[in-house]
Amino acid sequence: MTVHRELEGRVRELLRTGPVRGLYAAMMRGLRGRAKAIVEMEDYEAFRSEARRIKERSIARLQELVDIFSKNAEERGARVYYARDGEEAVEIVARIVRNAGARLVAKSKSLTSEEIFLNERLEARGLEVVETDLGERIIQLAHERPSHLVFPAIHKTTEDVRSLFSAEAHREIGGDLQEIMGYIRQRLREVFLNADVGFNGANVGIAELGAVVLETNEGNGRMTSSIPRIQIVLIGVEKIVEKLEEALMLARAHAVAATGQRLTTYVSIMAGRSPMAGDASREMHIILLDNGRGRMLGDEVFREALYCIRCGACMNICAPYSVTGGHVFGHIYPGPIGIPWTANIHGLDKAAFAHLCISCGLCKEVCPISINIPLMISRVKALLAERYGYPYADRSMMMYERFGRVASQLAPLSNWALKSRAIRILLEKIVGLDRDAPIPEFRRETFLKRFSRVREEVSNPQSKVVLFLDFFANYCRPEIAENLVRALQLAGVAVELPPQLTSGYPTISYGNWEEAKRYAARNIELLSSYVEQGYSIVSIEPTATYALKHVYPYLLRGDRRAEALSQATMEALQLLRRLVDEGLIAVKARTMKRCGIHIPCHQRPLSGAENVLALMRAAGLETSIIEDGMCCGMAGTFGMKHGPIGRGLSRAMGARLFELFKSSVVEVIVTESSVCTLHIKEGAEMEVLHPLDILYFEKPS
Amino acid sequence: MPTDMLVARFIERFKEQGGFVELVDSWDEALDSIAREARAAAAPVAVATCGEEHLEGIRARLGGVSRLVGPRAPPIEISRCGIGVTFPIAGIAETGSILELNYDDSDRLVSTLPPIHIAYLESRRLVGRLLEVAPILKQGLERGAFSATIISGPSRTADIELRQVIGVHGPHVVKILLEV
Ligand code: SF4
Ligand code: SF4
Repeated sequence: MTVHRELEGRVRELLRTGPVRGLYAAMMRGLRGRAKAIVEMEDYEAFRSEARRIKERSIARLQELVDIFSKNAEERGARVYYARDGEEAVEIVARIVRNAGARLVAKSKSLTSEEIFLNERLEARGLEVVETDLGERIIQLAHERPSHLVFPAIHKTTEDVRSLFSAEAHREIGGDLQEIMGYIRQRLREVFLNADVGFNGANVGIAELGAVVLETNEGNGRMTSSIPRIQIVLIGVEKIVEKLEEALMLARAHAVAATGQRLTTYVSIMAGRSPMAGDASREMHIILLDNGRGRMLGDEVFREALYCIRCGACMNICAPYSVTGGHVFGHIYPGPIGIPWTANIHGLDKAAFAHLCISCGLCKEVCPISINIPLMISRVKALLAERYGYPYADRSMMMYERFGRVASQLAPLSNWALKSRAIRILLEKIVGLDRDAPIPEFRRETFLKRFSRVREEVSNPQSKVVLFLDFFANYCRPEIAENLVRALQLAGVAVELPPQLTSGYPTISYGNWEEAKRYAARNIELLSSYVEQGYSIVSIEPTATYALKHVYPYLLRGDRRAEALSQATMEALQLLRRLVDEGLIAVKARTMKRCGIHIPCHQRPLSGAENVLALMRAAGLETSIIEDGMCCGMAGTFGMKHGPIGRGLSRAMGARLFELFKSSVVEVIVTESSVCTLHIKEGAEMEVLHPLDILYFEKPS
Repeated sequence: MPTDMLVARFIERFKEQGGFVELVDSWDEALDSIAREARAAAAPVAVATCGEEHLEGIRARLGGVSRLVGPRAPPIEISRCGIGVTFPIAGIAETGSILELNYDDSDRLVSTLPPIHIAYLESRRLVGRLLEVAPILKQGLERGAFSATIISGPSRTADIELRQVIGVHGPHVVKILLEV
């Protein structure tokens, strides 16, 4: 487990020094901008679906589009190359530069060039490469790597930048931002005007026009792609689409998701090499890079990574990334999507930062192409496990169901034992369960056992449902399930509770696909006959609902029963709200305290806070949502694991949210997730309840 | 979308993005505005590829005020200009942007190198949605343009401590003379 241990060391160090400076502010800027831009669009979801369809059909025709693109670009006077790997691409660039007798390359931001270590490799060949994007230039002078996709130098202060530029200029540059800008403008203008070769990446390639699209805000890309006599463009083959209209859609999606701009300030569409001041002897070279993309295309899971348009939105919402930053949560490609890309392009070992992903699923929700990043990451974890085995705490956590069963059978003895310091220390050593992590109390009488007492025969039921319990409502808080069943029966809903497993989501979180598929297949087997008879599946735990609705159909692709189960599954509060709206039951509150809602991550792609808010307000409660935009950091059992990649990181992720709750006027926190409850209760030191602890239902008067 | 709504949305969005819009009722009035800016800048004015009428107009109006550079001037000369004047082929209300077709790379530099970029746009050239410029752009490429740029305000960066700075490498002022 060397890669895991090495990662642990880096995270431990980071937790000691604190989160990357300025990073959270940069992420929030991106997220808020995006949210604002989306509101302005008429139908963002339709737009997003269309953007995804564009990528789906382009990747499906990748080879054909490469051919059309090459033909059309050459017809417009460009020279097109196909590089199988980074070395080949660098060699092509070096040859072009050498043939031109050039030494200075003016470069605009290109992550694809970083993927192949272009700068280092060209410099090793005696060439001078100057990055012209401000952030990239700062990073280049500091000999570092970007820590954020959109703001690569976010971890640098004005003072850091000032001293870097002063060292470059061999004179003191004033600390004022305008003065720094004045220097950089003048310095880089010399570069633009004198470079023989301009190098740029491309955001999109347009096959029908043989054109490339380049987006920049600073305007540097316009200069590197126009002034030098020779222009070199490096573009990953996955970026080619067929039509101009598709390219424009993606440019819009990119800007909205990355920064919340309607479009990036300059969107240049370049089709062939333009003359300059009438001189037509100029050259355009386009290098199409494969470097592992062909392999990804053939992989049914990782193929989706090729849909990425590099907007960086996924990293803006990723809680572990917000603490660790791109230097730890990344290799060359940072953030969530950086995991599958790194595993495929730079090798599995370099993608060990996959262990930092807590499977909250939010990256998929924020992605303009709806890429299923979390499941690709889970796959990377599975591959890492094949190579190195599972980290021992992960292995234990995946046995949660067995643990719950035994703890419940032995309750109350088990609860007493779990409070004993000595036993907790022992458990920490043996199974990796942190000695201080909050764990719930177990009940001897699980809800599965209790159900026969709660169940009532409903004559002429208004509808029929099967309850999906998952772990917590069965082993730890059966009264929540009981409240739900009683309310449903009161409304005339017939409730069944057939044998079932928990959702198995932790096996996905830790990358055990075989086990996850077994959970999915078994639950489908146990529940499908009910679905076929028209029962709805009502699920209490958000993560379980998410698993049934979104994960099972993915794991068991092509299985119609998985699709049917997904369709039939609904949230408990969704059904309760409907019954209240239909006047079949009335909702009341047991308290009048001011409530603050925490939305669990897996609930965001479901109803968000819609149902809980509606019910609590209908019960006359003063309720607001408190959030920091990301996961609270508990992430199932992640926050229970001992060590920096566990409770350490989990607490650091939660710190912001805890403060928000503490400084609010809220008197009680409400959330539907069992594990968030444990985490926030400890962190915010406040009372945390399930909505069904607060709400009760009566026959309407 | 009715024309006045198109105009209103375009202006609102372009301004939100840090650009300026001045309404003019004729090319002649636009020329007045360009001449005023040129006088204030006291520097040469670069001009992008345009029709003879426009070129003649500028040449005549700037005579004695500023030296005219271009069209198709070398980069070094454009870099010494205080103002660049371009003639976008379209304006996009949805994104608050202008579309420029470039027949020579010096055209791109006219809206990149000088600190002030002035674009003359007739309101009949406004379209509602981004995708509506696709046919215009394709036609331009077929008729000899090599590239096109969609510009949505002045050059900007927030790379240092997220502090927004306008006018990094490109212009810090982008002003549209919108003929309505
Ligand atoms: S699932 Fe959550 S933790 Fe994992 S990469 Fe995505 S946003 Fe980050
Ligand atoms: S995966 Fe999605 S959100 Fe992340 S950078 Fe790519 S397109 Fe953007």
